[in-house]
Amino acid sequence: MLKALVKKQLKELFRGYFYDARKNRMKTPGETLMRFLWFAAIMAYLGYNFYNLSGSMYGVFIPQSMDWVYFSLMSMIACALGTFGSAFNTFEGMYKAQDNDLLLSLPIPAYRIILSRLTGVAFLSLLYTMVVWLPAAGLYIIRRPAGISQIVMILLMIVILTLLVTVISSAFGFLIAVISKRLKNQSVLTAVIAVVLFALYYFVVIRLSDSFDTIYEHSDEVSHFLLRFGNIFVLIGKASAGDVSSFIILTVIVIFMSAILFLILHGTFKGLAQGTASRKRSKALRYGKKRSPFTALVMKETGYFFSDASYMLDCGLGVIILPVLAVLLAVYRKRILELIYALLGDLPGLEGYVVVILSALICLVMSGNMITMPSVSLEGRSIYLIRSCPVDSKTILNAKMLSGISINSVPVTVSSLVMALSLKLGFFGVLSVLLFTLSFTVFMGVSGMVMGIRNANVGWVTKEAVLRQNFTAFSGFFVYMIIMTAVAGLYILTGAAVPGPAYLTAFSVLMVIASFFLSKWVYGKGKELFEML
Amino acid sequence: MLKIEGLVKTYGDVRAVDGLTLNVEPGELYAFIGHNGAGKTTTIKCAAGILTFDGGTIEVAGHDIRREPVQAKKLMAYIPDDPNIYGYMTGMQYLGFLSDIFEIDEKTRKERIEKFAELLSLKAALMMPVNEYSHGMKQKLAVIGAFIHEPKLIIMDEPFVGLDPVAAFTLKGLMREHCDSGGAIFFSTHVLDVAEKLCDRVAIIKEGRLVKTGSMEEVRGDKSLESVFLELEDKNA
Repeated sequence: MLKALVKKQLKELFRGYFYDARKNRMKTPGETLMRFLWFAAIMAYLGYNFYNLSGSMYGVFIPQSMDWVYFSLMSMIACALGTFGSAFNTFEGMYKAQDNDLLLSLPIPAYRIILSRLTGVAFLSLLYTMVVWLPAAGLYIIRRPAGISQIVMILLMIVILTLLVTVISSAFGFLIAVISKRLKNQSVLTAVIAVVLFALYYFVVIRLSDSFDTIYEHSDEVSHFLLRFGNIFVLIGKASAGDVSSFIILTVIVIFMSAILFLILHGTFKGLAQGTASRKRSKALRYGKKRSPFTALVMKETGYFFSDASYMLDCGLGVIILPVLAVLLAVYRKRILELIYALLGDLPGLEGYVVVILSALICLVMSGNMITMPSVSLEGRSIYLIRSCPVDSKTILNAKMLSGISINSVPVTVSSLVMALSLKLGFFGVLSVLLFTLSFTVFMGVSGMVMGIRNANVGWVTKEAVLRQNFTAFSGFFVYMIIMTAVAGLYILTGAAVPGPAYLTAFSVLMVIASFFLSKWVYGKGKELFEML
Repeated sequence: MLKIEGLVKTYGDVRAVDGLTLNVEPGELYAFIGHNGAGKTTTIKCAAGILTFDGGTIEVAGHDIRREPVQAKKLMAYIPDDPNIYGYMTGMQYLGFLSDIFEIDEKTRKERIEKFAELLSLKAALMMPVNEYSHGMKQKLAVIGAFIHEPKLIIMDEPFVGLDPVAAFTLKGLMREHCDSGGAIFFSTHVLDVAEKLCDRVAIIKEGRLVKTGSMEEVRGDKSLESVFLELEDKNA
């Protein structure tokens, strides 16, 4: 029975690789292979980046014989990445799945449903863990002679880290579900509290990382530190460095944590998976104001975003993160700029580099906000409603794009302005930064719609399948990341051949042109495909 | 009001609807019956402009659903068999959304919402989110949403499923009233008694083809509609 449930869960996870929901047919082996190859290429690229990072860490810690610090830091990165990647999946995948009622009505013990749901989380955790840990472990094993037992422990650490990331992600999912229930499904508040929890988690991880810096500077105090701050990442580091007793203690701790969490999930699953009655019946009817059909469609899209905690957390974290970063930049302006200038060194045209890099950084943070991308699939089984309304498909798609672009525009404008003013840019400088970040926001909105239509799936069971756990979201984020890396990289490689604002303006023009051609596709082929859903 | 000619809809190699032709006149309450998988919902979804089709034409009050979809849809309403309505909206927000789409002024929408919500006993739940509605409440909301813009044609797929007896009785009254005032209704149902008592005309579909159509008297003769339907099923088996 568990096998069947796990199979169903994995099928849901990989559905997009084998099944073309838009054409309602199985993909050809060639199409499936292409998808897997593209996915492998993305993972290889990420792995390569972590390989380079491992190289830097190795160069710092291994000559000091601080192998365990090297592994501890890499395990922290793996956990941070894995938790970010799969924490919100747990909430949606476990508590909001559309087949929860069906499965609970069948003679299946709740623990098996939970275990099968956790398989999806564990699988994603495994992917994120491997992309960090394998390059780190590979580099270490190649460069430094290690005994068989140490190699085995390093490799077994993949399982332990996967389990640890699954535990942390599930704990987050559980907390979000509890908050959502307590707040009677008030989504905005749920999302904000979830983000605060997340920020606290990363704050703790960063503080632990700071502690490692202290160790590096005062290596003679290592044992003292361990006594004071002994934590799970230290155990991971020491176990990977060949300490068998640390490995055993670590395994026991992680299994214990998993068992405790599983008991909590088991005891609370039914209660949290059930809906809550949020508002009492009211006889006082409040009639809304009349709006144009287009405004009504835009409001419908915007309303969906702000009413769904998962949608906000998966596709809108940047809306909260960007203003926070802007405030930090405004408050710690001097220190941050000093740090950037120190990192870049004494380059000619330094201000140009800073403007370009910070602008690309704003866009990079925003690139996770793919609001338009899932908007077609999110229509789900309600798609008949919009399709039976007397509005043409172009208007519907325009409303979706405008909603996503508008939501992203506010934090992008605020953070761009704060950044430009902090750097004391002139009028043209401020304008070029705004033009760049806003043209990227438009590009994201339109290209997200292209990807969303091409890979539409209105027959989803778990909303997570169209929000995050899908090939399109992964590819989209990767493409935006490459674009922004290229923007910053090209400027650095050409040695700031043109002033920063002019460079940004040139890229803005390119993005506007790209958006124009992509929108032509949306209004032509895209509209046609949308009407076939 | 609704003119379907030679409709063909295929799913891969399967011809779900195969050359179907029928005509619903103003003032007619037209029942569409057939066994499960006969092609009723596919036909209805094509007529509502939700599904594309491979052959034939569909016109709503003279507007071709493929060439003039917006004009055609302005004149009709569609109620699905399973009303998946935006769960994040309240009932009132949903009706406000539809009113905006159909460009109904504030005074008129208020009057109509009050009238239909009162009739279907949904007034007290209109400020609740739809995802807290029962199936029957969603069905009632879908019915109000269909009547709110006073369409000329209403297309319904199994409209009585999930409704309580009082609401079903009210809906039958609304349907008759709508047709008596010059509108038309085309609806599918498995409840043959309802079709027999309520409708002016009936069409029976089997494996995508129309096997019998006409006025209720013409189709059933001196038998019951149920007997005619079962005979046709046997004969074509």
